[in-house]
Amino acid sequence: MTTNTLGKVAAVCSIVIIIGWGIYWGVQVQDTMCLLEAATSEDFPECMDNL
Amino acid sequence: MDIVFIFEWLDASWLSDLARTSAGLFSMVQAVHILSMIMLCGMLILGDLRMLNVVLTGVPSDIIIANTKKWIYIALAGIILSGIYESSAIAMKLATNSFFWAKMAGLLMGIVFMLTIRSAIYSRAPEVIGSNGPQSDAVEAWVVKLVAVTNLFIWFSVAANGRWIGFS
Amino acid sequence: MLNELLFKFATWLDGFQSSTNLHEALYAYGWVEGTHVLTLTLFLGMLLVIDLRLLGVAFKELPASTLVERLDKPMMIGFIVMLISGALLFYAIPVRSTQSIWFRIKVVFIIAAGINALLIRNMTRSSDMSWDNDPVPPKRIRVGAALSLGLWVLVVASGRNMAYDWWDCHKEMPHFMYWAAGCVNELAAFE
Repeated sequence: MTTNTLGKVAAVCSIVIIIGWGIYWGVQVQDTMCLLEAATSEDFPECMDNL
Repeated sequence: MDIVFIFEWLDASWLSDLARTSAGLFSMVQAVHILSMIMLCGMLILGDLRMLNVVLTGVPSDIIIANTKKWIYIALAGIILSGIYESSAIAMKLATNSFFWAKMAGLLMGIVFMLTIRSAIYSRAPEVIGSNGPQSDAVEAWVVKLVAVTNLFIWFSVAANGRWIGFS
Repeated sequence: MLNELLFKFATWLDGFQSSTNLHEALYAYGWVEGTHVLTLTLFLGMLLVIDLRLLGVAFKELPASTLVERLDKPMMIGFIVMLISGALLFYAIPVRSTQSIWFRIKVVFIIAAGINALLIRNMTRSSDMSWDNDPVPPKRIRVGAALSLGLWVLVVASGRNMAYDWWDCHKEMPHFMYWAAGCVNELAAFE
């Protein structure tokens, strides 16, 4: 693999990880926060509709 | 692929019995886990902040990265061994915990990324970042910085997920 | 007397609504605690690098002063974040923290580590730093670095043990432990 190609592969992988993992992790955190809110409050939070 | 059987085995093992009965030993292992995390993330942060030209600018990056390697491997061994011990106490609970699986995915991704892309890119850092002398074979500076940010992000997510296992 | 004073201070803090709010908040306490634990990697991570160099086991190609002086800023940024988050954690649960034997032990070790750090700093400033480029620094520097690492390991371990209730005031303990942990009400019941 040439250095030029390596640079492109690294850049693409990094962008995919930041966006992909970022979205997955963000959704997971959001879902867990929603479940936590549902468990601790008397009302049914709106976010439960999106789970 | 059903790997719950691994957790069932761990849950029924002598290791699990030991982990559940001795609270004092368990807390010591937890401390080892945290200290290993400090060593691992500390060494990674040093390398990544260097490649972002935030710390130790002008100091040859090859020296810094090379010196962090041994301690990263020692820390990974400590983290994995202490992590297995801690997991054995609550194996079945972890098998269905989404933060645990996210942490494991992040850990695997982090190790692979560090050993492959990060290692390859940092050894080809241009002179303006690496300060290792003239480089005939270098990648673009922005690629180095992007890799550094990506690595920091991955390991931050691993540590954060680890913390949230405790809350969930 | 000190125990009574600390208990009074903790009870006064506990009276603030913001203290209760922080403790009972759904996310805030978790975020603060998470910040406290994760910032350890910055603060103690940088300290680890400095101490390993001063022990002569890593980064031997670099002058010791380079690491000590140039990692000082990120380390202190980490330390300030640790102090602020730690203070907030204390403020959220002031009475239990004050009466936690592990918290008290942790504070003693932090003070000891701080004194050790000042001693190392004075040692390096008063010396001619002729050992700066030596792979292995003089013995007194290495002892200081080893002490530094040891003390901070004990700080982390004590902090971790705070989560356990082995020696909480409501437990049956020897009289000495009630005094050491500052269990003012339980000590009064003894008398």
